[in-house]
Amino acid sequence: MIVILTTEDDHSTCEVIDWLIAYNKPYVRINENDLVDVQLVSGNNQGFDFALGLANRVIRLSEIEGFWFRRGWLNVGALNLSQGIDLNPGLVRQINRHLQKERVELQGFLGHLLATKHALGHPVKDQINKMITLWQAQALGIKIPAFSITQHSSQVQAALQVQPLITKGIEGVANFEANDEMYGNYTEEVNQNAIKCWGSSFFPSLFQEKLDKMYELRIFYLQGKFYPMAIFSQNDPQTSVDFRRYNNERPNRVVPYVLPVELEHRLEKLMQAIPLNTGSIDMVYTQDNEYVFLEVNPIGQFGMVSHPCNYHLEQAIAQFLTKKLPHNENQPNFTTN
Amino acid sequence: MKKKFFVLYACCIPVKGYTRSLVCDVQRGSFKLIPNELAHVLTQHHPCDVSAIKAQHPVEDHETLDEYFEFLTAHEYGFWTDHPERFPALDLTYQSASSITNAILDVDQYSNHNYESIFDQLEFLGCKDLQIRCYTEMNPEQLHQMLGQLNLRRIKSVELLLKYAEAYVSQYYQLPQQYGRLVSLVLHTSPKNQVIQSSQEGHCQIICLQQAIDDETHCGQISPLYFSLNLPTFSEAQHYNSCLHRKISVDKAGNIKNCPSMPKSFGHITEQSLLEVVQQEDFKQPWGITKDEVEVCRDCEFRYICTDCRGYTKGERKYGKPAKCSYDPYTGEWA
Repeated sequence: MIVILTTEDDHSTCEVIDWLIAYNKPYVRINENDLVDVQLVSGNNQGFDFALGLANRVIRLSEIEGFWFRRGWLNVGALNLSQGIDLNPGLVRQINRHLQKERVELQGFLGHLLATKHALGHPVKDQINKMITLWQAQALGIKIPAFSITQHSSQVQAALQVQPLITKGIEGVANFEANDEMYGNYTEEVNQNAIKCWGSSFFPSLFQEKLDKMYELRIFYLQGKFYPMAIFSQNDPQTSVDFRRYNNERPNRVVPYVLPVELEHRLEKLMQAIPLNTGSIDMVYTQDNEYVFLEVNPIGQFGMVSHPCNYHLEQAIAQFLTKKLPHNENQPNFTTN
Repeated sequence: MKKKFFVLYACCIPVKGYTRSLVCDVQRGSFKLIPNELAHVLTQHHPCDVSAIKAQHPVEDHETLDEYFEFLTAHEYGFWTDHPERFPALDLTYQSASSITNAILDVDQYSNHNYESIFDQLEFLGCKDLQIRCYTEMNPEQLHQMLGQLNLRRIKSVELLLKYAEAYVSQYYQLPQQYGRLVSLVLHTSPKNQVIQSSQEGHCQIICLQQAIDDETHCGQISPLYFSLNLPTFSEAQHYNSCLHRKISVDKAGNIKNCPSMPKSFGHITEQSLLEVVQQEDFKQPWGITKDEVEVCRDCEFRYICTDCRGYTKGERKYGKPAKCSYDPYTGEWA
């Protein structure tokens, strides 16, 4: 049996499941909002085991052959301190904070047990630090963009004298929601007006050399194999700084791409160093003909690479999970050609 | 500094016809008509080393060549690069996890279908897209019994054809809100032609048609209206039939067929399972008839974006051109 941890609205999960069904492979899909009942988690000198209740079935660790961590978390210990108990509200808050830590620890342990199986993705190790990844990439001889992190506008001014800058999150993308409006942070170019607005000091922020892009690369990685896609975001002013400002009328050209072998070797070493057996790598190919590494996302939107490039990544993932040979050599059992 | 090679974006694919050609943009879903000489250059000399190509052409053609490449660049069909080896062509392999991807279910006043059983079987086969065609008036109660069986299934889109009925029409318009799987609702035999809701305005289009569609013989129309320009259908059309591949149909009488318009029945739905039929080799035989094999279509520039029809063919030949197609690729004109 294969266990998939994901979210309810993830369409890529459905497409991978279609292939698991075609391969006649039993699976359990756990969405992060599905309540997981901790019936028993046990360990002794003979080993570890668990039995988790999910709706009307029980999942035992011993029955699991493969695990795919797509995204989300195991929704265990949903109970908080009973509302009726008459305690000091400050104390209730402290107790609930403690319970939350207990929950995270248990989630991490269950995630670890799942990842001891034949696993794609890792629910604990996926928490990678983007700045550390940049450090690892640089150490492996992969070009990175020059950056500075500072809380002083004087430093930003100085850096801006040298080259144009962009600013983006140190950790990554934020999404906020208030009054039914969604707010997100995009990568933005830095200019004098913006610096004036910030005042002389502010929250420590990341400033990065604005790369002169020829095109961008989104590279999906799956256990030793790279699936690169080039994104021509520079033809359109709307998408030239951040291609996530999608132009739906005239979407950026996206095409399959071939990476230089030398670069592939270095990226392979990087993925092993992090370590990740799957992820989406973002790079830029500059007007100076250089490949510049930006980041790796352990949880990637691989559908946006798979479909336009016809890479059949959903099938490749299902084959990985069922330990089948790569696609062209292994047809599903009822295929007709 | 001008780069050396002109390269088509991999999603822009030239298709040569007898008198003229297309560049099909399978990403943005559009195409451009181009002369055959340009299609020749784009297929035989791709990536295009333009100065080398010019050297093979008389000087008076150079301006035209430049115009061609400017046209393609301006419309974002291609770009200039010094590294064409980094930009491979799209792999046009077709893969599907479903043994049946699409199905047709016909209904008239004598039909006695067990919808739950049919949908269960389609679900098992992995069917994604279902077309239900009702030639006779259906009351809302019957429709709820039918459509209520479709929630929580792998069938993700349903096109519903209904006969217009004055008494029920407002209830018909409510159906898309109740059944999220509906993507198209067409009412035939309507008082007038009218778009009630376009596919941009909601997840389901609602259209009234004056034409009476009272049986399966109305199918098989070939027209630019039915062109389908996307990568899955383009790649499928390279290898398989662009109408019948992985299709199964249950006609109004319950006969299991490739298509309700085709005479051959592979058994009755009450006696045979859809799976048993799908496993028969002769059922799958027409799946492999590509447009490259069909008479006339094989010379047509629209062959990979057009639908097909094997139900009504010229001279009723197996490889005959669809009878309801009025395009002549040898003149480049629609009749």
